[in-house]
Amino acid sequence: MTGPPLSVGFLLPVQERILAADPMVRTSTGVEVAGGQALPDWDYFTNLSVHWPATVDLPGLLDDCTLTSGARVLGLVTWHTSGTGMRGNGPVTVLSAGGTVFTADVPGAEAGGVLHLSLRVVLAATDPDAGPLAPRRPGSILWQTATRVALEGAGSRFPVVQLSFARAGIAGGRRALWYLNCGRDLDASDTGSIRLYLNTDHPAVESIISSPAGAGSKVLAELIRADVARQMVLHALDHDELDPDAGYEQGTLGDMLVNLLRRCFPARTLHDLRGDRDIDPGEFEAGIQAALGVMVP
Amino acid sequence: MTAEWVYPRLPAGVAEELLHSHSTVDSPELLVVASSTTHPRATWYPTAPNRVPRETLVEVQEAVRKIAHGSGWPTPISRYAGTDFDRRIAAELYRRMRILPADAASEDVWSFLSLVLLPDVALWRWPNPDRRPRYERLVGRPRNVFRRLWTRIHVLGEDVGGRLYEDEAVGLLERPVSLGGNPRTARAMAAAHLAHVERHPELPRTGLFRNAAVRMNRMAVLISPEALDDRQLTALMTEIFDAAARSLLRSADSSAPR
Repeated sequence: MTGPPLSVGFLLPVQERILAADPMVRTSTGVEVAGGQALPDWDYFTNLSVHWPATVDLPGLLDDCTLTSGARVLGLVTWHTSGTGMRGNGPVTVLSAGGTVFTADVPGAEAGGVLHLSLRVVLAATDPDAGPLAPRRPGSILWQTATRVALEGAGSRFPVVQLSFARAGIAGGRRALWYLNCGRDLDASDTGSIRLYLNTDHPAVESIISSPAGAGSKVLAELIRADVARQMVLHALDHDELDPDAGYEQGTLGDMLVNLLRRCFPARTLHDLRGDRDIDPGEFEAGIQAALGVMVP
Repeated sequence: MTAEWVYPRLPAGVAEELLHSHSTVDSPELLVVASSTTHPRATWYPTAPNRVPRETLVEVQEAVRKIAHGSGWPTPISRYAGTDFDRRIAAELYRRMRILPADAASEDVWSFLSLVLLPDVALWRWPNPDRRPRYERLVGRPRNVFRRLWTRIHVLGEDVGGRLYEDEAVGLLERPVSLGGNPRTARAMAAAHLAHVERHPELPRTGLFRNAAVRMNRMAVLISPEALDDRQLTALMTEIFDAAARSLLRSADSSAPR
């Protein structure tokens, strides 16, 4: 980013005239983080709102810039996301003395990567009675501060889709909780082969979406995680063509299934595991639970 | 409500392999056979509910091919015909794809479009005789054959976006400071440019744009264009292009033979 010029050619207020708190970034699902942090589990379908409180000593600011009391000064939040390169801003607010919460809405469909945020105080229009060194040009930046929020990290996400089973016709449209769809092409991409569907018609799923931090939601999320892993282990054992020594490329379904088996059962061969499953399926599933550490704090 | 789709993504390594094999094919007609609406290594954005259906991919494929045929496909394309093809295809591609803007920021999406869905058109428009492994026109980078046209319409709109020259659009959309990704300021700058091109037909239009862009970059450090109302924004852009035009006219005067 271009740094500030050494001299902007007009008078600026002293920094202390504006006291800005940390901005809060909220998701449409109720998750909230402060500027400088990472936003967990964000995706394109999650809109964001920014709330940035600040207190302005307006008379002091005008005095510093040799502007008159008739000068109009504005505040606004601007945003830029690194993933898409798109930019935007929140409402432009006329400053008055005291505290104001500046806001901006960032549509998830236009965002990605790192969300860069700036709070700016600018001159609205030329003040004809201002001093000779006062800012004159409309839009002149008198003060600004910036922060960032990481929306997406380097790790890949498990493919999860929220939808109404009634409308999609999954499980006969009845109120199941989730459905894991897993393909069979071992050389196909992992994210292209696997999808976890969550039924938004079910109140427990609705609860996990609207209140992910709730105690009940955490238990359900853990159960879903365990069941998905369990289904994938069984899917791997049922797959006749799966070969742990085949050297599947990274990012393929074969690579994912082999790694899952190795993580859960590092000392067992595929042949051993199939035997265990056939001899006592119930105990084998208990072994999966133990390997995954389900509900273990 | 019209759904916005997410598109298949072709990982970079697979894209390079395909680019290499497609680049060895002599005729665009042979690449029609190699085209497909699917690829086994294609991935998707993990949480997307609206994956583009096969029918839409076929519609995009047919619409692009129809325009390509009208531009002389498979005969090698001239520079002028290429620009005309770009102009004709940009808005059609944008309307047909209905891609979620955030998904359109993925390089892998455009690699899929160029190397799986439409290699016959992509390599006809931008052949790769030197077999460059990461040729920016054919993998999904910002100057990709289709991506740059989609971005131009998304940011600038059909009217203004369709009237800018390639260099001007690239110069505007890749502007680092405050302009390129902001549709309102980008459109205001493009509109001022087109108005000044009309007013000063004697000036080289690309030179005019470059001169104004340098001035705007300097200005964007001092002012926040987002804070300006429409009248102020128009006045600012007019002032910048007036200054750029005067500068070019002075240079022309001083270099004229006496």
